[in-house]
Amino acid sequence: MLYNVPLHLQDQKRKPLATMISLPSDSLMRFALFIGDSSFQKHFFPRQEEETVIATTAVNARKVLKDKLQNSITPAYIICHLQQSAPELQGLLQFLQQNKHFRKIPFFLYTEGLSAGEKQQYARLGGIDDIITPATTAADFNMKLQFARKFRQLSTKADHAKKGNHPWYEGKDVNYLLKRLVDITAAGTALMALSPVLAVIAVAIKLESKGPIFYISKRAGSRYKVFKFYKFRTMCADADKKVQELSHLNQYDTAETEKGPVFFKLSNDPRVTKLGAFLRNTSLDELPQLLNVIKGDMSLVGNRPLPLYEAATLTTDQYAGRFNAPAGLTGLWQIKKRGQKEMSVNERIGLDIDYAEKYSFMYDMWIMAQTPKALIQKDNV
Amino acid sequence: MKKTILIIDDSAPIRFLLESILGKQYRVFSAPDGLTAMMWLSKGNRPDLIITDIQMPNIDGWELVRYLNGNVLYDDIPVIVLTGSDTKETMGHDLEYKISDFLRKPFDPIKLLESVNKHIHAPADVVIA
Repeated sequence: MLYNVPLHLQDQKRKPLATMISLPSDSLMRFALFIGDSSFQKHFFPRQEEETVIATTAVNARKVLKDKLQNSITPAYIICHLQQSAPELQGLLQFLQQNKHFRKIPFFLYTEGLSAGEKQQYARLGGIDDIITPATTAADFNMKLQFARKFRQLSTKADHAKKGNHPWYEGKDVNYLLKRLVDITAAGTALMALSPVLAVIAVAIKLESKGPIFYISKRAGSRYKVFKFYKFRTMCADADKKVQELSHLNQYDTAETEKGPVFFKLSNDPRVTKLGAFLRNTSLDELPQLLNVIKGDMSLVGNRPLPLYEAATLTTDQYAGRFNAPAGLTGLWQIKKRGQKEMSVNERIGLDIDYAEKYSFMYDMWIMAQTPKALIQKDNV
Repeated sequence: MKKTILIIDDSAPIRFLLESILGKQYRVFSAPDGLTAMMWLSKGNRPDLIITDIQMPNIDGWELVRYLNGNVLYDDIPVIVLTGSDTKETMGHDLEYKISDFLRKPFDPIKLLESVNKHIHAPADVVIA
């Protein structure tokens, strides 16, 4: 049925529509509202269950919608021909958005075509479910309508998106500020106090074997920040190239899952030099990481920053939480499991995730207090 | 002005990770499922690239991809699928989806960033059948 519009509504004051009308949730939807000239209707098969209402302009469409709402009727969908001026269309979309009953109505634009710029322009208006063109078949339209209805219904019931757990650091977080203060103070003091020891170790490394004093590798730290990680060199110069040929001796069980996390560590690693073994057993090889702490790449306490090939195996729903903690010199893994051959990959990652979830400044202090006794290892790893 | 990326994944740690990796170069918004993502789009936001998981509540990844593919307003936005699910399991039918890249978890963040940099200026060109 065609209605003559504009409608001549009585000039009487009405209460706001949203408070005047109370619709049941399954209110009857009995008509389709077309806005613009009626020429584009021929592209659609008439749907038997609906009347057709044509409003020549967006302003008239608003009047129709208000009028019908008084009888508890809202349209099944709205199709607006893209002849309306942008301000009129924008006004109509805002009007629909402001009323809880109209927010449920799928809204389509009909156009012969859109340029890339127009796509951006109309997408940014918001509230448009989809675009109908002369090429849209009745089946296509029904599918679009079905999806738009599903989305509109779900979105009215949806809670506002809840924020997930915040990552460990926030710029003004008191735990972070205290942690950074302790990191800089302790690392700076330690570097100055230990500078003679560092110098002796550097000379000894140079004298013992060919190669650089420091072993510098790329590591993934907190939130996968990749940085240069410093250690005293404890292996022969080409140690990294021998990883593949020694993989069968890996301490970690990589067969737990076919494509599971990959950690690599050897007991009595043949690549380690004699001086290197001593430095590792006393943890003196880790001292250059105080520079990483000063730079802010790492903290004194946190999860171990990982070589990139290891880190890339932990980017799963199950394991990625371990990256929400700061990278650290010492952490839960070091004080609870270090040096134990029977530790599994899952246990180690579990400790990392546990720390990421429990992190606080006081927890860090407790871990630091537990660290000294863990420094002398039981196993040469 | 920085280009905008929309991340859709129901895993909060993965969202944080992606925000961190991509946040230096791009403006990043994230949503825990397809419905929240669509609500964000319906408010007039239009990203330059979308990264989506597949198995999610309410509106899943494939449903969202099909909607984006078929909608003139969004059909030129590159979509990267990042999932821990098996393709055949999650698709379950023979529909074709136009996506820019398909990556599996665990993923190499450096390769993901390369893919994003490559596709954020290019139209979708990969069809998964």
